[in-house]
Amino acid sequence: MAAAPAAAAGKWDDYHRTVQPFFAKHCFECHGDENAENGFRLDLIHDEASLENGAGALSKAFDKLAAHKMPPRDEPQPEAAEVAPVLDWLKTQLAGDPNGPINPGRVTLRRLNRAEYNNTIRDLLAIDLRPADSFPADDLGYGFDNNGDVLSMAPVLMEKYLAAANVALEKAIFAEPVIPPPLQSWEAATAEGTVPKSDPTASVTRGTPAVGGGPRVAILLGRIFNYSGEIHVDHDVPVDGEYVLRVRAYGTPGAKRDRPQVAFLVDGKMVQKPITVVEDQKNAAFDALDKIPLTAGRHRITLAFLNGATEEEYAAALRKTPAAAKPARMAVVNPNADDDDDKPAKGAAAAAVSPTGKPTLGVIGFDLEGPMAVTPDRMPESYRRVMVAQPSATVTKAEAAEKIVRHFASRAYRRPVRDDEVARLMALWAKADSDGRPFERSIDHVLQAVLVSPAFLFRMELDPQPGEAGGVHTLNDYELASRLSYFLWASMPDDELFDLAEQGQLHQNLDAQVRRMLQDPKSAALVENFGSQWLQLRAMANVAPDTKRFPDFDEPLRDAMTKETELFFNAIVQEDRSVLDFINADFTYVNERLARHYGIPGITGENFRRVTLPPGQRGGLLTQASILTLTSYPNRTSPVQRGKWVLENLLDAAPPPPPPNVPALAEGDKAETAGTMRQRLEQHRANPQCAVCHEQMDGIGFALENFDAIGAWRTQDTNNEKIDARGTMPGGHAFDGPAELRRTIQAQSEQFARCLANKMLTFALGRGLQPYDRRTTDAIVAAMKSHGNKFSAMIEEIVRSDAFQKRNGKPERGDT
Amino acid sequence: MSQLIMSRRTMLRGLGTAIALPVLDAMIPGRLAGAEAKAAVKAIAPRRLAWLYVPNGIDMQNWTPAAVGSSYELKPILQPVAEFRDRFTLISGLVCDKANPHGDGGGDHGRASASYLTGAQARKTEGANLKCGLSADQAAANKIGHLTKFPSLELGVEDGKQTGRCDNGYSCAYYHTISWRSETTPVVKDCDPRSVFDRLFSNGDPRESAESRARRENDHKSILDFVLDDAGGFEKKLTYADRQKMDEYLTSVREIEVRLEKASLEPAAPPPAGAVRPDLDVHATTRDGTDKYAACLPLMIDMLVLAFQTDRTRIVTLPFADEKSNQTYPWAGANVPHHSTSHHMGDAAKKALIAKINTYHVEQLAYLLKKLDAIKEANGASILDNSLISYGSNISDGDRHNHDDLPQLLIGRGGGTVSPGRHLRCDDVPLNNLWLSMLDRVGAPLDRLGDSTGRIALA
Repeated sequence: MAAAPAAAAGKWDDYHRTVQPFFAKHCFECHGDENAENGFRLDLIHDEASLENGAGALSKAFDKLAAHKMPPRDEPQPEAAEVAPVLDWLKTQLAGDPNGPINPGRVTLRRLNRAEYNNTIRDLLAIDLRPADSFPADDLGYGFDNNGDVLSMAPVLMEKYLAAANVALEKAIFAEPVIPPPLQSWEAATAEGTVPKSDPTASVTRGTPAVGGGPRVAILLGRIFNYSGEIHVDHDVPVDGEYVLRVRAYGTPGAKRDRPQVAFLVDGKMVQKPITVVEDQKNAAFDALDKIPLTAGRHRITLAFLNGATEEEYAAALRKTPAAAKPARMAVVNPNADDDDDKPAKGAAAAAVSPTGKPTLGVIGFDLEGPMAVTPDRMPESYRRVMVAQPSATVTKAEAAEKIVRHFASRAYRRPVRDDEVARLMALWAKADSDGRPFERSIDHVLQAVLVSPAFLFRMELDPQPGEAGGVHTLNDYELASRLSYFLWASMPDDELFDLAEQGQLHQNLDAQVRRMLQDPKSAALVENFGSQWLQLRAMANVAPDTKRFPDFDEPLRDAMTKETELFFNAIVQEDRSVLDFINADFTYVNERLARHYGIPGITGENFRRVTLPPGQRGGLLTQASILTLTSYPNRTSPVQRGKWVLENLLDAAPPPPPPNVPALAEGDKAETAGTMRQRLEQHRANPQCAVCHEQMDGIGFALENFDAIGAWRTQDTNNEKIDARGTMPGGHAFDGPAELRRTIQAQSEQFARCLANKMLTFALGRGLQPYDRRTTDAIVAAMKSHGNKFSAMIEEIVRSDAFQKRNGKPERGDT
Repeated sequence: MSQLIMSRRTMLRGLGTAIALPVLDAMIPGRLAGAEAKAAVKAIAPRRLAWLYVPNGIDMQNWTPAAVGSSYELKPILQPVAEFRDRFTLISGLVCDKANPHGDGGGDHGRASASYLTGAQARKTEGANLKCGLSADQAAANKIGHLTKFPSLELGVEDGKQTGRCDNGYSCAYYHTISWRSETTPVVKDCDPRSVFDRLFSNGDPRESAESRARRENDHKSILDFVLDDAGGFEKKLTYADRQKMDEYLTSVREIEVRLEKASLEPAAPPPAGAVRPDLDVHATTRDGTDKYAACLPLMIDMLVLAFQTDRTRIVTLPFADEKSNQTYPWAGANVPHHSTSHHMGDAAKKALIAKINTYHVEQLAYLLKKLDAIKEANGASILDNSLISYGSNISDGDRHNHDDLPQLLIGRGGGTVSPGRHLRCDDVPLNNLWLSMLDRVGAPLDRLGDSTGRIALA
């Protein structure tokens, strides 16, 4: 951004004439040498070059002067006429040439953060896995964890990426079919065969234990084989394929503990090894061990009982022991008997042995399942989304693999995969395929590589002429699609965005797409990522109120507090409300637990519902229990923290940090310092070094003293003193209580809108804002104002901005 | 020291392909005999380094004894490690000047963690152009990290995701680690004991067939080869900070590749007997944060012990909490936020609470030392004797944020290279001098690091 020499000289002249004398008079005393207050120096700007590099300092100076925060109030104040030209000049300079091109800045290559990784895997593979939950936490820059500069890479992360790719693809590709193969079942009771048919309506009744604590004797069920024999059906097999045969049976072993064995025959030939029926298994189904190939057409399927007595032996045995003559009293242990609380005694099985001493068998039915071949239509969405081709008689494995790889990589890289990339991926596939692994395994291997490649893990925006003094350029449609989808959904673009990008139509359809995306449930990501970080809501998971002092606090309340704020934020997005509702909405969301905490009657159950709030106590974010709790200490409220929270998060007027080596405020436990919280804080402000900031913070925090450290309403503090909720804003505006505080902030709507716009733009871009971004935020704030401060107006204007749609080929180092 | 390392290498080369192995004490006697074996064993008992960090300063009046030398009075905070007093050196008078503002204003906590092992001034930025310096642990890893599966391990307890903003103009990256791989790359720490366990023992199931293992390792290798190639292609097209990010990626992939190479030479080793995979789910969202901390810290210490015991690494950093941590310690009688309470303004009750937190942390240290001392190594000494473990903070008094007269314990004999059991008073000596003295003793000598000016005599 090097200005022409003449212009630079002119600028320096102006500065030297207009601004520097003002700084010298009002600022240099504290900010004019190496001992500068807070390390902030204005004296370093002393020539053309240092002026060019001093934009950060000037921007800060502008903000402080414009907000009347500097000079400190106990110092001589400049006349309005004195400060106005300085502000004018600074504003003009900081915004850059108002008619010139806007510098869109340059976003550092961004690694997907944890939320983005989870959501991208979800949308790419149609699985719900959240593998990134176990990744190390991402660092924050400028308040958000999507900042390219601080999202670093480390071996531990790389290990996690490798493992996650493995697990995610395993789940997606090697899933169980959601539609099982067709199943044909037959009842055994009435099938044709060589043993007597049974009553198909016979049902299980609970048997009484036999005399002497023996087993429950079976009430017969299904087909009873007292001796060896077979039953069969004739079946039209629909198509050639592999099938599984299964028998549902129970049995009683013989005297030698030999268990009943059955076998399937197809057209009279045994098709697999015999199956042993284990008698003590309940509701047992016994699969044939192997899939068997069957051709289409009619086949006789026979089930044979192999190791029973012969019919003659059975008849002979019956003659010897007529008491067991009734077939219904045949000694077969009922597999459905409920023996949970009454185990058969030892020797029970012996008592149940058939009179022949050979095993006996009961067959409830048998099944033919198949064809077993996995066809895509039977597989879950995750499988179909990846396996978009299958080898067949007309498609070679390599052709199918290439189609899959091309399709997958283009979505994972969020842009069309290049031919050279495909060629390298296919080389990897060919190597995997050459060792004879199944097709899905070779695909799995190559797709794992896609999921750990930089084109997936990073959001790449390549400069057209890297390394050269490339200027500003417009992002291509694919890059823009990713910026949009990661901004609003924290995930990859969907098919509609990809389609528009492919047609080159995205830039032309941005407003409609933004509206569509905000309406999509995936925009809940804005709450989870932007909202929770802007409001510091993530800290709710870690707050630990002192349960001795606040016995009311429990986990359901912690969850409810967080949920309330999330639902409230989401309502503003979904209903496209004015962002001023964040400050002073008259509604919120409660469930029974939270309603009790708030003293709202008539709410029952765990579900949240929207309620209208009576005027006075609560309304907007500021009086939600979540915010009030996370700005408190475990044992008491902190007007300082609450005030600081308001200044930082609602007014973008964060007070400077405490000066080094001067202790922060003594935040007393109850009795150490006498007096109310207000009196203690007032004592503290007697120190002028502290007073300059604490007047601002405390003045706001006092107005919230009616809420205790977990956000419950109170009228007395812990020392039983009546709450005094009077406060003042920076600048001196006085108010009393939370309702007046809200109205006061609401009246500063432009300052709030700018604060929110700054934060949202930081989040949208994934970089810290620079002085040259002021023109962008000016435009956003103006657009918000002219559209009733609607949420969508802010988002649309951000998306329209050059900062969002363009990229500077060179980084700027304007900021400190 | 370097002599010993040389002789170790020479000896190992003679042993054939098993050399990349962590030396198993059982392996040596079978191959060598008599005096030769004894010498070899003595030479190869590995020396390790660990840095344990505690934030927000210490209640110094209950830490630093008045007397120097060996007959000093052990102050209350150090009572939990009383039984080890002949094994540690209490060093006072150390200073870390780079944690001071030098014109950068507030932000002492972020500067403290950033400068602790680097001796470098952190650039004041919320994100863009992070800059600090190479840290002592990473410098050591550069020199001796190739000897173990992990060049170094960065462990932690607080993973920072809930801390929200790291204010005062310093990015969270400065608060959340004490390890810096280069002056621009902070190293993320692993705060999940289960994850650490899985990483330590992920070189396969001993029951896995050789064929299956070979295929698995091959698959990983071909994936890494592919992405290295991929990243190399992109790197050429990137500039400025983008390129630096791709460098971080390439470095990470290469490190894993090297690790795989090493692993393929090792037999799959199960965890030692008695080691169990931690059952704490640190990612469970509803669990009370305070409980989680108390459960997590001892588990993380267990992981450190396992890593040393199985020689998966010889270099570990483990901050017990991050600077500016507001963790509460109700189980230690201090149900107050640590950082805010550390600004005690001289108040006796608050200082007593800080002392309780300090004491709790030292109890955890004692737990570590007991475990390390119970494991005997090939040379007959314990891991503790063969190690050098630093325990300290880069803030002296939490109320003043001063970075001089820092609390510091150096535990262990470093394989007989230090003479512990005394209070050593220094006169404003840079902390980094101590780090250099530690590095000397593990065969990773450096001329200088950060603001170092020399060495500290420890023997």
